[in-house]
Formats: sequence, structure tokens, C-alpha cells
Amino acid sequence: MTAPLLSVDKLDVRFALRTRRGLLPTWIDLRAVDSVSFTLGAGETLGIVGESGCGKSTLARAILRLVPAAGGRVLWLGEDLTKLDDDAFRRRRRDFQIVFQDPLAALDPRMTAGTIIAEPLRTFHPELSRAAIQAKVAATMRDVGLAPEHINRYPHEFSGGQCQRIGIARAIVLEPKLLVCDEPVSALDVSIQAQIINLLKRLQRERGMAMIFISHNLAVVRHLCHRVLVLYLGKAVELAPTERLFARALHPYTQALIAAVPVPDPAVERNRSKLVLRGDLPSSLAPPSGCPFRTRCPKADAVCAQSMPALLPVASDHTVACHHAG
Amino acid sequence: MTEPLLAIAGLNVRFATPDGEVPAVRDVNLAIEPGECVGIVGESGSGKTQAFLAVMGLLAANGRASGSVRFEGGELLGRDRASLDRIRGRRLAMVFQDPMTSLNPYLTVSRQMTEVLMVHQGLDERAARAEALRLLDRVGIPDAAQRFDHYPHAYSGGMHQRAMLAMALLCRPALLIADEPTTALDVTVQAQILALLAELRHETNAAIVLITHDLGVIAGLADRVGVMYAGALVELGPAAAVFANPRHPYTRALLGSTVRLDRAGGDLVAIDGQPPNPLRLPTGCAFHDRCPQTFARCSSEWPALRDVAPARAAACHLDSA
Repeated sequence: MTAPLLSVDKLDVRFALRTRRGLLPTWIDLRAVDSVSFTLGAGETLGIVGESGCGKSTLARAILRLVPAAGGRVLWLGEDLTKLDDDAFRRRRRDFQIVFQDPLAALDPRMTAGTIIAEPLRTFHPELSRAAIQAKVAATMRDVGLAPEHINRYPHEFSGGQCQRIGIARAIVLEPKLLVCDEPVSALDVSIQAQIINLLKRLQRERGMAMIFISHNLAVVRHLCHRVLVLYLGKAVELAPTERLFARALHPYTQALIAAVPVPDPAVERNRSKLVLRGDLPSSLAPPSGCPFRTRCPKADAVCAQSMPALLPVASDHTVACHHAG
Repeated sequence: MTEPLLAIAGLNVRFATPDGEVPAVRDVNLAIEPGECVGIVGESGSGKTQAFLAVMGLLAANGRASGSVRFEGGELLGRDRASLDRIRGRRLAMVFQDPMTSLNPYLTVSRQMTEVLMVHQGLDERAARAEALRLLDRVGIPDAAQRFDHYPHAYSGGMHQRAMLAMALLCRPALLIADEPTTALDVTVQAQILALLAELRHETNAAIVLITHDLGVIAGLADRVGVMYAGALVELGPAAAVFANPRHPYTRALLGSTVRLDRAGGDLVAIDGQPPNPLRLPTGCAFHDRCPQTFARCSSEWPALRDVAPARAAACHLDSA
């Protein structure tokens, strides 16, 4: 087996929050990402799922050093990114790019589509001529389904779906080895979502990029990803190949998450067995003792309150963190 | 024949904007019977919310509704605010998409709920508190008695939406309009709220209009489904039939472009282009420039919604032959 492209090893991200307890202000640690590990092969798409506040975006941002890691390693082709100085890191940056959730907010309103897409090229290839940059931008626009004659338009002149295409064009113009997509279709209408999902799927296939796809929408994740990592309150609770996960998820949280997504077909939806979780996500400032999911888990018992279950393999490619799995 | 609970006829909503008049809702006809659940699905800008804000008399100041909206036998359009207020909140209630901004942050939940009962039903404070607390407990607020006198900020997103539902149901309305009630919530909480809506429906016998962009949300709950596109109702029929055998090309396209959890892989059938700008609607059928089956008549003549089978209606020239 070849070495993975990306290997995330016990990654921690903490945010220090100032609170007032009694008279004196104190700092408390919010563990946004708590010792998460996974690997990603070239050309592979990994889905990261979980509810709001589970740490999925923070995890991706920590990998790209958009937020600092408090511990652990991020190995990119064997080299620890967390240890690189800023200059050395910046040179690696061209290999991993990100697409954000809100397409309009992610684009500078004072720059034209062409300038936005050309910016990474000008940064990393100052030697390129204007004509060469122009040609590359036009080709990339065509590749993501934008008309190159719109190159001089500003973001507000495009629809939400087209803005997301500009964001994708900017991300792939340097031909990165890894594309991180943070909820890239959540802000879009259904008919536009399908266009962007098909586009991402085609780009991934044609260019052989690895992808990290962050989403709260499990249907989209099933559609696009080879493997899925499930996070709950900053902890990895299950990791498995997509079809295996949907056929037999072992963590009660994964099972509940899958059961909660409605199927747009009354004939199917009305006959599904529903496992409806009680209660809300606990605050990450005061996570429960032991297993973080135990306060909402139908299987929880005394042992779950005492110790956090380790993430253990149940098959060569399937790991789960639950005292009662299997 | 008795009159339906809600009868919308020839409803048009237009907004005056600096760029000209925007037709947001175009000639919508829809009747809702007591106790039934009708799902209204459409993409942003399809007019699904504006149509029902017009029913509630809650359009923005630059919006004008014309046509007719009859509720329990009386006309709602053109009523003054005082007489609307006697119906709204009592017989007709609405919950909105963003639960966090729907409760007044300066008043305790108990105060907001008891006020409704005291104003509309003339209960004294003691009786109103007891009834409000009973409902707050019923909608599944944990430790409702302790949380009753809290301010809204102490509630989570899911608890906000539960409290909104409790408030909407305080006076046992005959019709509840729920506008994207779960869109702002996580899926696990969405599942809780949808299960609650289904239970409340059977307990209270209220008719429900469920407005959403998510076909999945409607699939479990709605008896009938209405599909809106560019301000017009383009398809209406029993939920099972519309999902299994859509008659309008837009409904078909919407189903084809929806990712399904129970299916793996394969390419989605995306609809090219995007919904039209209401300031520049295409001539004829508003969907014709995205429709795979379009023909000459589609660009010249607007197809009205007409019956195409028992209990089913579609607004498409393909179906008029």
C-alpha cells in the first residue's frame, strides 16, 4: 500500500473562552476537536458529518492551518504541516484549497470573477504572462460551467450557484491535490445543489483530486464520498467506507443521524423505522463525562458515564467508539 | 356542498420596488379542508412564503394582495387589522423559519404565552398560566415547569421551535401555517419537530400548511402536495401520487435533482439554468426555458392550472391535449 496523501494524527483544537465564575474572570478550554485521527489517499473523498458545533469545520480548518492546532500532527506526504514555519507552509498551500459554504460572502465584491480566479495563479506563478493567466482562467471557467465572456463581471452580477462555481474555479485553478469543501451546497436551492454536486463529482473524477467534504446532509455525503467520518462534540465516533456505514452503522449516533434524514418519497418515508433522539446537543463547554453521546443515547448505561470508549476497529476499514457496538 | 376551511382564489401578490413591480404570487387557487395537511414546496423566490403571508395579512408594506382568501366562510383580504387580529392567533396561526427571532427576547416565555390566552380567550392569569404550561410540557420542553419563566435566550434552537408551536396551538387554531419550521435546525432536532407535528396534528385536528424547500420534509407528513414555481402553483395532488408519478416537468426535475439518502451514487439529473428573476419572467410558461419537453406553445401562452386526473392538477401544455 502506498503512503497516504494526508495523515491526521490525534489532532486537537482548543479555543480559550473567557467566562466569569464567581468574582474573577477565568479562562476555560473548549475542546473543539479532540484527538481526531484519519488518513486520506490520493483521489479519495472523505465525508465529515455531524451536527452544528461538532467540530467538522474546525477540523478542516486546522488541517489547512486556518486555525492553530493545540496538539497532534498533520502529515502531508509524510511532512508535519503543524511544524513548518510560515514561509515553508505557504509554499505547500498551493496543494490544498478550500471552498466555503456561503458563496457570495467568500468572494471579494470589488474584484471581478476573472481577478478572483486569477489571484492564486498570480501569487504562485508570478512568472506567467498576462495572456497565459487569461487563458488558464478562461479554461477553468469553462471547466466549472461558467461562460468565459463573464470574466469581467462582479460577484453580485452572478447567482448563488454561479458564485459557488467561481469559488470552485478559484480553488482548482492551481490544480491542487486536495480540495476541502465546507458545506459547499447548503446555501443553494435544490436544483442548483444538484448542478454543483455533479460538478464536484466530475472534477474529482477527471482530476483525481482528494477531497474532504464537510456536510450535515448525509444524503449528499452518501452520493459523493468514499468514506465517512462521524464527529460528535469534537470526537470521532465512527469511520467507515460509505456503503458499509449506510448498510450497518454501529454507533447509535450514526444510526440516529441516518434515521433522521427524511427520504423524499412518501412510500419509503412512511414505512421507515424512526429512531428519534431525545434532547439537544450538550454544550461543548461542559461535555458529559465518559462517552459524549450518552445523554441522548438509547443504549447508555453506567459504564458510558465512566469512561470514553476508545475508537476501535471492528473490521480492517471500520472503526467505532462505543461500549455497546457490535 | 360545504365551503372548505381555507379557499384561496385568484391570489396575486405584487411588490412595488424601485426597479418596477414584482409579481411574487401569480393567480394561485387552492382549497384546504379541515384537518388535512398540505405541503407547499418550491425553491427560493417561488412565492410559497409570500402566498401564505398574504393569507395571514402579514405582507411587507410595499406588497399588495388581490384576489380572494376565504377562511371559515369569511373574506380575509382587505380586512382591517383589528378584525384580522380576532382571527389570527385564535383560528389561524403561523410559525416561522427562524425560531430564534420569533420570540420576543425581552419577555419571559410564560408572559408571551399567557398573554395570548388572556387576550384571545379571556382567561385569568392563573388559568392562562396553567394552560400555557400544560402545552409547553406537551410539546416536549424538558423540565417545562422550571423553564416556563425563563427568557427565550435560555432555550436552544429546537426548544424555541417547540415553544413557537406551543404558542401557535394555545387557542386551538383550525389552521396552522408552518413556514420552513425545521430548516434552521439540525437533522436530529428536525426529526423531533416533524414527529411532534405529526402527533399534534392527530390530537388537535388542525389543518396544517407545511411550506418547505425540502421534499423529504413533506414526504412523511403531507396528504396533498402543491408545487410552486416562479409565483405560480404548477402542480397539486395527493402526496403519494405526485411523488410516484409527477405530472409537471418541473416537479419531475425537482425530484430528479434531489439527493436521496436511500440511494447510492449515480449522477443527479440537474435542471439547467436557474429560477427566473420575477422582474423578467419569461413569456408563456415560466419554466419553458429550463424544460426538457418545451415546444412552441410554451413560450407564447401561460398554462393555467387545470385538472389532469381525479384530484390532480398541473399547469402544463403537455397535459392539455
